[in-house]
Amino acid sequence: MRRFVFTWLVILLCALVFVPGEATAQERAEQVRISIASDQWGLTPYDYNTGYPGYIMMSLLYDNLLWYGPDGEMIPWLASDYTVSEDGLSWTFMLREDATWHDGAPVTAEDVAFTMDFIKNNNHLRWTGPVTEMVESVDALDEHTAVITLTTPSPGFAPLVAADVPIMPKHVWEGTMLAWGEPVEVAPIGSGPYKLVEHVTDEVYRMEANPDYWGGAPLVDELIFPIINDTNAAMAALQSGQIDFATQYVPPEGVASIADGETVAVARAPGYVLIYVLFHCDRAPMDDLAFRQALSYAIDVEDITHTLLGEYGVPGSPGYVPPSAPWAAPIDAQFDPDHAAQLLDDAGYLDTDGDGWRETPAGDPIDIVMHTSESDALRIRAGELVAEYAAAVGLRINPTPGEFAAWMTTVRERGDYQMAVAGWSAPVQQDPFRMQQLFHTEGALNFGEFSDADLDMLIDAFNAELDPDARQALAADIQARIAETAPYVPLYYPDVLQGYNPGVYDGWLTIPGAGAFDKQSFLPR
Amino acid sequence: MIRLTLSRTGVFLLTLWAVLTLNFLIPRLMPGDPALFLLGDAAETAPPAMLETLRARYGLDAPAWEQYTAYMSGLLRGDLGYSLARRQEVGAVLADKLPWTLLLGGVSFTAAAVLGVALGALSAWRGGRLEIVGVGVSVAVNAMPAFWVGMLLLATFAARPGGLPAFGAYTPWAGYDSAAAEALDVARHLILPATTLALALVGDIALLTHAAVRETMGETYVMAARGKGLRERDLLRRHVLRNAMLPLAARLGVVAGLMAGGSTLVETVFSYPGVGLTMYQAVIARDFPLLQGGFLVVALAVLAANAAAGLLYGRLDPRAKGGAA
Amino acid sequence: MTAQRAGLALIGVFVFVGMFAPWLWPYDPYERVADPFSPPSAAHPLGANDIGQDILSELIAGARVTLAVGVAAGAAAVLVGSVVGLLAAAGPVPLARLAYAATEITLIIPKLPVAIVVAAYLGGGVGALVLVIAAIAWPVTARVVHAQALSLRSREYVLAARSLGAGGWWIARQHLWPGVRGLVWVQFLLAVNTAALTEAGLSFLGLGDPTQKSWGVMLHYAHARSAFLTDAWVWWALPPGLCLTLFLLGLTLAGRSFTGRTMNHAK
Repeated sequence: MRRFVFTWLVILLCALVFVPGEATAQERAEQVRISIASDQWGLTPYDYNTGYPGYIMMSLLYDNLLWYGPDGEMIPWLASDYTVSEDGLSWTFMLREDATWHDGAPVTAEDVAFTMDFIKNNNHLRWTGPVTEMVESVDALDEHTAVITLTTPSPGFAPLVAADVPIMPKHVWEGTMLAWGEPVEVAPIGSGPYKLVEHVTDEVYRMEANPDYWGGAPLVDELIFPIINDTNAAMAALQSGQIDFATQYVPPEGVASIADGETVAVARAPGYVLIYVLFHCDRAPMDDLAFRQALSYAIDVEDITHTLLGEYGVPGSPGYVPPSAPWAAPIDAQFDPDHAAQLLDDAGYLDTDGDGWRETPAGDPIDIVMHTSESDALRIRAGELVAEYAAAVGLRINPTPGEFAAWMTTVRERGDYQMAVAGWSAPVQQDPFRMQQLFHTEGALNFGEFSDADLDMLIDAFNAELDPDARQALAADIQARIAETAPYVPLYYPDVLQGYNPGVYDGWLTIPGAGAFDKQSFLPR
Repeated sequence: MIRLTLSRTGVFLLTLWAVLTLNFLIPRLMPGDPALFLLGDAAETAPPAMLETLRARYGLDAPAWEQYTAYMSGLLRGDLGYSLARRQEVGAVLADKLPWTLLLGGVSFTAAAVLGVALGALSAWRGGRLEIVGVGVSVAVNAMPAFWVGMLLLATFAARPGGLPAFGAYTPWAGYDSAAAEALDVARHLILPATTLALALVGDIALLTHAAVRETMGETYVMAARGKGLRERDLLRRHVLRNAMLPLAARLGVVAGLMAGGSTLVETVFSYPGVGLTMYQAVIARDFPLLQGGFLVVALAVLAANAAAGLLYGRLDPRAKGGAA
Repeated sequence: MTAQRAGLALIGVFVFVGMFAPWLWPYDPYERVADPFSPPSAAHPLGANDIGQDILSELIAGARVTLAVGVAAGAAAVLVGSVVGLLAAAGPVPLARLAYAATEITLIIPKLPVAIVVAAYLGGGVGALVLVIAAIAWPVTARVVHAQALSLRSREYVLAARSLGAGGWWIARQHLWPGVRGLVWVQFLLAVNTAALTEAGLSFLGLGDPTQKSWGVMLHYAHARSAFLTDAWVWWALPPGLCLTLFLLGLTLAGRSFTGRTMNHAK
């Protein structure tokens, strides 16, 4: 029965959009007002501020060589085509010949070379790490052909660099003196479908369509981004018709009342964000495989997902990869408290002093602090529910909420914690190469200090493999091994829910992981 | 044993120095790292080296006393510093936000004062059932938490087509035809937050006025005036209300402080772009320079309001000698 | 006065509910007993919250937390405030000046970051919350006590005692404290008022202890889980706000005299 429901859920996710019946489809619009939660600073690749919505807003002004298409697969973008050499070391990108910068200058291979140099020299950008690591050199073969030579053959290059790095105009940025943190006096001239025409700090951004865009003139002439800090206020503004789209996600419990069938509809896409329980695997008893496995059997992630998100989320897969992602080999979570109790009994976690709580095999009391962040009410609730399930098998876990900045310092910077409720954003989940960073003993994002020799070997093999089929198979093996060794207990993947006014504009796509807010939503298909 | 002899100015200077120092210390005592917020999008996947580069660039890794002397000497030059999270001069940020807070606070306080004085004076003057109702309403309104009232107003009046604006101080993309249209738009945005803040103040003012008027009515000179047959309305205006303004004036400083705090909640609920919301965001982002500057402005505002209250008190009350508030 | 009695009665109701909460609540407020977001029904008169806990039971538990935090923080604030106020009025000169300056400084310092700093050092939880609120609220009492003690100090009998060579401590205990004592009760009620309101505000902003069932935390979740987008605010956000209002009303009524008659009498 559970499996059946789950399957239907996945099928439902593919159906994606609710559209109120009576609204006539608006395929073009003069103006669309899109709320954002906070000021995003400048919108150049140098000083944009957040992954969402800042990166997306920046990508309305700038183009990447590759991009993620409507199905969530990588597609050629500013490069109309590309080839990879036999040894996987040199990638040749053919730039679109009709692509121009907002000031009219053509986009050339020199710009690609400049961009990679610029990123290497500015060590605060999210691409600095990958570019420095992977890119050996860039050569302009001719005006529209750039050859990027890699240090080692790396499949991570496409998602982490080619599809992630916005190409910057050399003639605008060359020779500018930049000090990180000072206001950037460089105009946000890109090659994207929109031009930034106004930014009033803390209040609004205004963009106008770029009629000369290589992909065709955008369907919406003007985009206005008013800043609304409070999500409730943003939803109220949506309902009263003051805005036409909210980048703030519609809370799952609010979908029914917000998608009223008149003014507002809700676009729905499978989400790549993962909320999970993080173990500090270097500390007892989290260093014990049996303990971690017991907890993942003890926690009913399906109930937690349903309780917190209703029907608008997918229960965590023990293999950690979101089931809707192309490389997923989903594994169903097993909820079996009896088995959990058995595992604990066998490993020596017994209640020896009769206080109702289990002690460690050495007889020490177990009283685990689990850090949750107050920035997100759902995560605090998730922590409470996890503790409830742990208590049912005799394990005492205290969910301890802390203010977000404090949480970051405790968990991420100092690594001074036992357990935590944490989350990964969609970009981290989007490409399988992050698995190295997350779970490899040497991984840069392995905050739980997890280490498993078998998994390390699998990940190394995966990163060296260039054949797509073999890589898919290895990705499945990795997920199976993650499920076995339980460095995380993945709890849920919330759907991407975005409210919009179909009476004003109805051309929204729903892209897996990204949702409707993407430049392709404004472009002729 | 050190013998300290402190004059009045000494105490004042000590207070000022302590406030400035605490403004410096408190943000830095908060757990959390401004560098993480500075990285923004890169923070999630940032290696530690990246954080260190950033801290060095902002002098966040300098010894505390070095940062402290830099902060103090900056203040002496009138330089509030540079906001880390907003990439603007702190002075410019505050100059941008202050007018909205003053508008919101001014309108709320004026409305609350007019209503509160009227309610308090009337209920005291008339007595009887009106007094019971008046005082009851004042006490009840005074007990309602402001953010709760704000949320109820938001849910009732903003979340429907054609409802009042739910956020901001004006419509930034409106492109007004006339000054009148702009004023109307600003006024519409002001209604809900100002109502919320005014409701938070009105009960207190009404109760103060009520008590003061009651007391004045018992004074001999009022009784004498009444005995002389002075008309009720003139009596109220000429003698009673004038005296009733006294506690109100004395309260101005407290009210200014209340607004500085209370408006954080109200500005947050309504996304009103004032100092309160800015401070809240600066706390979240650990934006040290902005926090220091903002606190300074709030502290100065409270000090100034206290001083103004003292002056006003002295002018209104001939009995008070030399601003002893 | 009847208003005062009404106030005491109101407080009495909440004290009763708070003390006997475990016998009064229909369900354990921490147990999930209904579907999330259930509207009111016969079994759950105020419906269920976002994870299916009974809202009525939460409301009853809230009286307990609010009272406990309010009374503890109020008492601490008044204790500190009285001592500092007396010190400022009658302590040895340098100490008195320092006490006075400390009061003024604390009044001016912004409350929100102080709350975060204190909470961070004490690791969250109700105990931390009590200290946070006490740290914010004591100067008000200190100021009032200071002013009252000053006026007492210049009375003839105190001056007489002083001229007879009485020490500052002796004067403070024999003459000033009895004169201030009456004020302290009112200040205590006022401090409880401030404490309850501050707890609600901090909890609402998410800076309290969200695992506690206080009214402020209920409002926090009602706001965070979109009660204001649906009809749920009627049974989820209205009741805790009303309870808080009634409780504060009780405190105000009990602690203040409203009519001229009582004021004249007090003179």
